[in-house]
Amino acid sequence: MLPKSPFQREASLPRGGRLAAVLALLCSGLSCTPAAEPPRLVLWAWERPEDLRFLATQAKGRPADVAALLATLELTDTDVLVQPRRQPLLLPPGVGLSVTVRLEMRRGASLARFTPERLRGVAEHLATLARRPEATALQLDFDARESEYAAYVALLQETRRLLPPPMRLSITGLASWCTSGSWLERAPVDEVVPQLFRMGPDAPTWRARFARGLPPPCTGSVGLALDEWQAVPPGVSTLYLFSPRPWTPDALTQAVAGMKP
Amino acid sequence: MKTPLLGLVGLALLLPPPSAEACGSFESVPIFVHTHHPDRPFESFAAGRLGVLRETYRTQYLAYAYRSMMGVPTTADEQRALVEMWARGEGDVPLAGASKELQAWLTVRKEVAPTLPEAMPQVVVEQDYSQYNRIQGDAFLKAAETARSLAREWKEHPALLEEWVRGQDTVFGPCAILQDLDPKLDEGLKPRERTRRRAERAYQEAASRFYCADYEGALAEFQRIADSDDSPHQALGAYLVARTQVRQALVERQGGFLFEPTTDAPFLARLAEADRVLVKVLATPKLRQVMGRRGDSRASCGSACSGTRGAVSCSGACSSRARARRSERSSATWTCSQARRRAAPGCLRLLPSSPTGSAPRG
Repeated sequence: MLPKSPFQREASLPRGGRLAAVLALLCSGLSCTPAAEPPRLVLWAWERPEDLRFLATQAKGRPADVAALLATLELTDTDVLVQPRRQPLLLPPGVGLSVTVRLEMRRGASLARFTPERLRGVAEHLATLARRPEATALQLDFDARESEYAAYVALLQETRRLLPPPMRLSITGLASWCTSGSWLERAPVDEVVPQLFRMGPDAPTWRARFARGLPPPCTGSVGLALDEWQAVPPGVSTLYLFSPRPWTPDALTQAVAGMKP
Repeated sequence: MKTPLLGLVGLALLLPPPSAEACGSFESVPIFVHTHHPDRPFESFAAGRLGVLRETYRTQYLAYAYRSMMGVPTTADEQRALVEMWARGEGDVPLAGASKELQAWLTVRKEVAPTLPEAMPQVVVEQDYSQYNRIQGDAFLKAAETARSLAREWKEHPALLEEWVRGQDTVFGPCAILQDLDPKLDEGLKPRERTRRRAERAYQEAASRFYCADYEGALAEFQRIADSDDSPHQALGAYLVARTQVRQALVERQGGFLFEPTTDAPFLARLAEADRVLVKVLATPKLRQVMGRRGDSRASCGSACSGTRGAVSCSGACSSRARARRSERSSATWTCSQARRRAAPGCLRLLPSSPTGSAPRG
């Protein structure tokens, strides 16, 4: 016997129930459903001294993980220069850590000119940097020109291959990458974090677009800055927060308060 | 009318959305006024063209401005050293690494002890996710120089040289206990050779303690070397007493990050003690030679005292204090890849934000 279809079930509802179902259906379209689960918080710890030990006590039911810039790879047409983090970062025990690595092309270099061997070399550097027992993810932050998209896909594939299976591969990205047909559709990553700040004159356009929900292929994650605050777009399950100044308990409290509708 | 309107709407939908800028870099806003350092090129500031001073400048710039306004002159060499330091501090040029010096040591090591297995020094260490140079380039150059000197002096005793190289591998490697000297190798040595062997071991012992954060032990060992007329490292030992004080002060400092001001009494006391030691080194003719080594002209008053909090006097000891502080700063950890991404600095910006490589030479 085939199970009843949803329509059959609805048809069997009493009159009042039917009304409620219609209202629920309408509400779902108008976003008046009960408040969704608040997103997981991830604080970016950029290249500055950061003391995030307060996360251990200040969670208030909102535990936060940390994505820490631990190195910058400066890439030229011949070399890879690893600039390690030089600012202390204090974390409470047990906090989830994403190893964030910034890639910078220097002296007119282009990733598009990198041979497969050189891309593999860069991927090996990245995999080495991510090799920390406490790390749960590797996050790459880079500026990609259109001519470099294919090379970045290749680099991400190689990096993905070298990472241990449980480790997630994440990238930050431009809001404009979150469009249908974007190169992101080919990127073998677990997460793309479009950064909705420092977007220049087109910021209102992109904010409006994201306010309707995350445009595919971007799903789940988004990055906001405390000094360019905006409402968290609907559908966000992981919210990255960037603070232009060192994090403090107050800064986090205010950010969390600002997330409430 | 309706059709063209629909056509326009359709066309609008087909057009790609405008591309958003930035984001990849976290700070892409234009900077019109620098709040923590003077305008580039820094040569102008170094030459005394101070511009409009802001109280938010890092202390090193304010101190230098104060000196300039007080009429304390700086030479062209000193200005060049200042500009180099500022450029490094603001992330305009990469931090000085030790890769060339390391390679020089490895090359000499292979020459003098070709049969020993390779040993890679542990140059960099990490603390609180921040990396710093544990061993400075000078240490590798000094070790290479010593190896060549011993190769000549102990030409007839290759086992002695190998023993020294193995000891040096321990000094430069992950912290481990130095093996005792083999008493059998003393047989047949001239008194002078025995004395040198022990002096070299004493220096390795002190250096090893220094690198492995046994500062009290390192202080005692370096002081013993400084007091020993038999050691070829006597002057260096005296100088390294101060360096050890500085490193201990930085590493064991209590209360906040290094860039934050502190009243931590042991911290200040150790720096004061280092200062006292350096003044004494300069005042002692047979020890003063250590300050006259390579590159010292660049560490004279201008580059050193300009940025030191509470020690701005430009006495004869200044260049020695400069040397110690410059060494500490040479791998200053408060630089990031781009100055614009840096956190607002604190008053003690001169000091690195994690213990850095004030390293004994060799």
